[in-house]
Amino acid sequence: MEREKKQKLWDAIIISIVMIYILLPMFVLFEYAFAEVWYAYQLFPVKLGLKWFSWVFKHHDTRMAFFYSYTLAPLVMLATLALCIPAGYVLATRRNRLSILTENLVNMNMALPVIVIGIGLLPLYTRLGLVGNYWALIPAHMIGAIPYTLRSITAAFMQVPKDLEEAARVLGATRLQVIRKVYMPLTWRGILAGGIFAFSWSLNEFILTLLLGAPAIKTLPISIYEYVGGYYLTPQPAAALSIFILLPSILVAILFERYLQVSLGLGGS
Amino acid sequence: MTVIVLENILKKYGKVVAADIPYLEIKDGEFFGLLGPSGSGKTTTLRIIAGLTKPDRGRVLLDGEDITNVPPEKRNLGMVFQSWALFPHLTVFENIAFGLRLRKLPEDEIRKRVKWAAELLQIDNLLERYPYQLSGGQQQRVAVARAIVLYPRALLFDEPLSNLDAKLREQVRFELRKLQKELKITSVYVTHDQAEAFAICDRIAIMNFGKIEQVGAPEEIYSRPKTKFVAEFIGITRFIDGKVEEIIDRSKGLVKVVSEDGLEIISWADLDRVDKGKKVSVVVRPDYISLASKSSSREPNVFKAIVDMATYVGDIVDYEIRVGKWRLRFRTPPTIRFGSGEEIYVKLDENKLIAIPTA
Repeated sequence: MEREKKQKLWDAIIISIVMIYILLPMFVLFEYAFAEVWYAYQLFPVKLGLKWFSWVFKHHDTRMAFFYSYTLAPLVMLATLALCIPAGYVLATRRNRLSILTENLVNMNMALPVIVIGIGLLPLYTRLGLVGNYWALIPAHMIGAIPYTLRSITAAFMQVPKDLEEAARVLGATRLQVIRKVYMPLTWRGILAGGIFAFSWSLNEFILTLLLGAPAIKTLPISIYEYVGGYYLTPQPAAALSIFILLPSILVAILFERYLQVSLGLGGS
Repeated sequence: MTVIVLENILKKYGKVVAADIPYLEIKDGEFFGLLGPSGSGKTTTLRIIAGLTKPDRGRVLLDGEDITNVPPEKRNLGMVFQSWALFPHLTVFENIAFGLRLRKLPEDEIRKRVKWAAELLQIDNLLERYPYQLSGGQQQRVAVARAIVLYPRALLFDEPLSNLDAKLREQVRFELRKLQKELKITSVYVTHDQAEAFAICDRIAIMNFGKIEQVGAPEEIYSRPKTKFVAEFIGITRFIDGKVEEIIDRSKGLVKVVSEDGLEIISWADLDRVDKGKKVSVVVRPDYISLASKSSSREPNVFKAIVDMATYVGDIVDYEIRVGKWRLRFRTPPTIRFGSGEEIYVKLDENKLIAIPTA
């Protein structure tokens, strides 16, 4: 009996540590974003409101950051999907040496620090005159997004048995009809997950955008960085901006868990 | 009306010959079996007919029309896969209707035909279910229904029963044969299971290393194998190796074979291929051997044998016996029992024994 109680207490402590670790930064972020009046000697703000959000929208710089971030992300998503859907199909259906090598290279890219890629790209972009070019940021963002998206889509295609394609062909389906009537219904969850990966990667991307885009192009993460680090310390507009990066991620996570029954971590269907 | 002809077909994977068929004709309405061990090329041959594998050379003819370069979706064949390959995202109804919808048939025609196929296969109460909700036997029926609903020119089966348990497999064999005879669709059936091929097929091709060793009705394949491989692959087969000493009866095809250890055996032989002095292997199967008495030991084809091992299997007793240096298999009803080491006399049936040329 005594032992059981002790065990339960330990369980509660461990779980609490994990919860606090995850939720504390989030809590502080929301506090700062919504605090209108907050005295330094008080633990919690006195008055909550949307002051900092309207403040953020008044500034041209941050308005442009919104525009860049929220247009780049869907473009990066579409471009990454356009590349990764056919590539994932090829990698999943032809398990030859070349496709395994490709897969390993792409996976290796996941472990590569982004700064390393950035240092490689910077002279290249400079020479081509692409530094500060909005469109040139799309391929730069894709570099980091592709491994995640490709993995998710390849996994989805690998779960479709080859027999199904052949059965559909014998039943009268052309190659195009096989894609529409067999592969799409069975892989769309994995493809959607892959798209979300690309979207959120682009929204979070900082290092490459800073190296190749700034100062002409500043996305939300750069704007946030400038508020807290670069020039002067104003955590409150930074927190308000951060909410806009956080929001899509939370929405998507809920959507996935609730309605699609897809775990983002697994990425398959 | 469908006749399938393979002409001069060759398919290689690297250096391995997967299929090498100079000529094969599958007749109209026939249930034709491709039987052989794994890797013998039977599935490759079936896939070449289906259009899923392209031969390196040769032609596939369907009623005289060359379809070698016609893609699978334009051949109008029905195929049942080993895994059954049902679409997991579609109900049984939509699985069966898949090909009909591709052909853009009107909705009431689709309903009528799906109903017809489902009733024929006795799965009309499962139409709203998904494949994962079905047993193996039910999935197999859906796969067959999906193939026949298109009124295909021919039906192709790729080991469709190998994922069922033994009892069910035996039952489904007869149902498949009945169905095929009812619909009169020319059918090709790939299997590695001899009993299955014998039960289902009108004629069988025995394949080995991509080549067809022999084509014939089941009785013919069993009682008149042309090669040692066919004899060994079909039934429980042992060989006695020797040489033909003389031809005893030309009209009945009987020859006297002297084995390597001096036994004189009277056996049937195909005299077009076997002559005096030719090296042969005599095919001996359990049902060619009967019990003899000691008093008949001087009669032809009666030999003394020693029981090496006896295995009781219920309805029969299975023996491993030794005649001279040759190990043979022999069976008795369980009312007669011999122990190992016992001496018995056996008679080999000269009309059943087959002397196959070996060199």
